[in-house]
Amino acid sequence: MSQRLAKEYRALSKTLGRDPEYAYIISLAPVSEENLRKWESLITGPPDTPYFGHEFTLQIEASEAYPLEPPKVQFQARCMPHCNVDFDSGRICLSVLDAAHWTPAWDLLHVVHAIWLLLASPEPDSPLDVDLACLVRAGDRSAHNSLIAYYLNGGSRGHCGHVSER
Amino acid sequence: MKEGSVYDEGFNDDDDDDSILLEFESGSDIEYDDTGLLRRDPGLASLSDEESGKGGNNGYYLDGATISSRNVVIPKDELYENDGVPKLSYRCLTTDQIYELMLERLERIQPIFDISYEDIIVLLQQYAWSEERLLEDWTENRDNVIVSCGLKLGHEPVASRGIRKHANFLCHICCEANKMKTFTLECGHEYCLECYQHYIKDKLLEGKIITCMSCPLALKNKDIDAIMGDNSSQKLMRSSIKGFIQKHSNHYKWCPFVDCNCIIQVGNISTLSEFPRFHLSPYVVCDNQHRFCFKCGLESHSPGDCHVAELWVKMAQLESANLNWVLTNTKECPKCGVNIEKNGGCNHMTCKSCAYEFCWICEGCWAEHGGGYYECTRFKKEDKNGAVESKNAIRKYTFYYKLFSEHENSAKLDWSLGLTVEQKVKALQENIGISWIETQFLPESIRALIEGRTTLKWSFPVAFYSDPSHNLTKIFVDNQSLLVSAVEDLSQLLQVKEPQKIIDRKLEFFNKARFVRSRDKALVECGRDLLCKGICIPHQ
Ligand SMILES: [Zn+2]
Ligand SMILES: [Zn+2]
Ligand SMILES: [Zn+2]
Ligand SMILES: [Zn+2]
Ligand SMILES: [Zn+2]
Ligand SMILES: [Zn+2]
Ligand SMILES: [Zn+2]
Repeated sequence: MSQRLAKEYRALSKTLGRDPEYAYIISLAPVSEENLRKWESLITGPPDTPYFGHEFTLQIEASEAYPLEPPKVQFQARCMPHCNVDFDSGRICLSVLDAAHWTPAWDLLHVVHAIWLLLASPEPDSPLDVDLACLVRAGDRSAHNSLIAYYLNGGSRGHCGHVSER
Repeated sequence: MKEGSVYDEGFNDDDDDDSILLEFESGSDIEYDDTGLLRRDPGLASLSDEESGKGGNNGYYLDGATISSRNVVIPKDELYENDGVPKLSYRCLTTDQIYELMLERLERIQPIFDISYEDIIVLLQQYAWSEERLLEDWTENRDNVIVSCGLKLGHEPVASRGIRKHANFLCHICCEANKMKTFTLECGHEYCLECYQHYIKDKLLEGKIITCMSCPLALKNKDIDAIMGDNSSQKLMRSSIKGFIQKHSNHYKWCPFVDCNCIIQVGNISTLSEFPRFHLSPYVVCDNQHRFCFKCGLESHSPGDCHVAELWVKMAQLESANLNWVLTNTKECPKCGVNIEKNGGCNHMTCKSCAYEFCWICEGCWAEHGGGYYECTRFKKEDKNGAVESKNAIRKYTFYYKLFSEHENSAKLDWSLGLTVEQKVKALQENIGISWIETQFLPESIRALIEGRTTLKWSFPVAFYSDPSHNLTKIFVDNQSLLVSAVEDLSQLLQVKEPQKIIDRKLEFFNKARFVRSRDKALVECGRDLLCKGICIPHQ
């Protein structure tokens, strides 16, 4: 399957910087040309969210079986306060990244886009950050947004316990 | 369906006083059909035959409605034992047998649908094999059902479907250009066979409809088998049936014993509500002789009734959440009902099926739990209010719980002892030339031992909830110690290893096992007496 990632890489170099839909993607490329399985992406936060004006790094790892298996994607640790992201590890809870919902027809661009959309619409029913999810559920958008802004601007955050994988 | 029980197969010859232990056995009304594979009781068989004669679809489904409609047919007095004690009608099945039953059923309902057999299987899969729901939606909006299940409407133009051969095909999944064989559905999304094989292999165990890699069009069983080059679709069907069983857990229960794949289906589930009145529990026995309670899904818990078992288990979860006790290690998801296994000390659970996150201890939504990642604060608060009173109660509980888990551990050891008995039986047959039937006193002894141990174990919850000053409670405790010594005696005898010695002491085995049986029964009767007379009152 090594051809597939090479092809995505070629296609991306044409798309990015030209398609205004993906203007928020500063970069999406392999970490090194030698290993096409490890990618990194730098994105800016969506407008009308507390993430706007901030940049975030996504770490992407495609397995041997990609695209038949979904890639592993996470934010850089302790950088993304979001109700579907485990702050300490950067792990993301998003259904398309789940083997059961993943479709081989999707590619890395799809994945980055889905994560970018998640920033604008948090999913409080599958929380990895209980505090933020509670605020979303309570409908308290302004408290939710200002808490995120506080963390993004360097507000300290205690160890938030772990969420186990099952 | 069970043919009697271990109690009445030539081992225990005093049949007349079996009442307490045998009342749930429904051995008499069983029939084997001509294939010998599917065992059904005549109630089910006659109804389905009648239905097929009419060619109608009403009245006999394999899900909910199937069986409840059966109760209308059976005269009321057939559902009860002579003394008014309810009687459970059930059968033991495997997933494969349930699938066979589904297919049989499918043949009967096919005329209602004007589509192929294969397509109906896809529909049923989507509807978790619930015919009733499918028929409802089908009558309401046929086209909608077809499209939502990933099938093509008849009038749509149909492109060719199946495996194709090429000289040089560029597959857009693997991006390799030299592919010779591809697969495509009517949608025209064409990918190489290797990609499809890999894709399907991962999905077979999920039990859900497998679609085209690019769109919602469904792969049918024959597509799957064509792509995989074998009968892989059967694997998919098996996992799909598992989903069916989970969705219909009021009619079907997995045998809770480790490594047992039996499923018990109860026909007359309305009878289940009759048991508590008698302080009895709806016990069933699987084809591997595992006895368990159909209501709680626990192993046999006499002399306690289901209420005792329920409160005891709840208490164990509250007070000893960290104890590694196997019975408390699975729980139903409070949201979707799927069984979830706890595999570690952490109480933060996430349901694999619906992703609901909840607290293992109080079953409350995790998000509303606030702060407490490792301990359930809700329970802690209650504890503080209860003050000294609750502290003493916990101490008393801990005492009984220790005894309970001690017998739990012994029962586990007895299980492994049981495994070696099989080898002993073989040795007897080979070394001393004794027939198989003559060696059966050994497995019978081990069964008496294990069941006696289980009764002992569950007698501690009964003792815990009983009024200690009452005379009958004292008699109960005496009966406990009599069973303890009977069980320990038999357990010791079963350590004998030499084949010849085992044969020489055959009578001793026989007598000791029989003694355990009678002590077991006495304790169960006494416990039920405590419950019926209100001396044992299970409480929170
Ligand atoms: Zn945890
Ligand atoms: Zn391919
Ligand atoms: Zn398609
Ligand atoms: Zn079993
Ligand atoms: Zn029960
Ligand atoms: Zn669930
Ligand atoms: Zn709790």
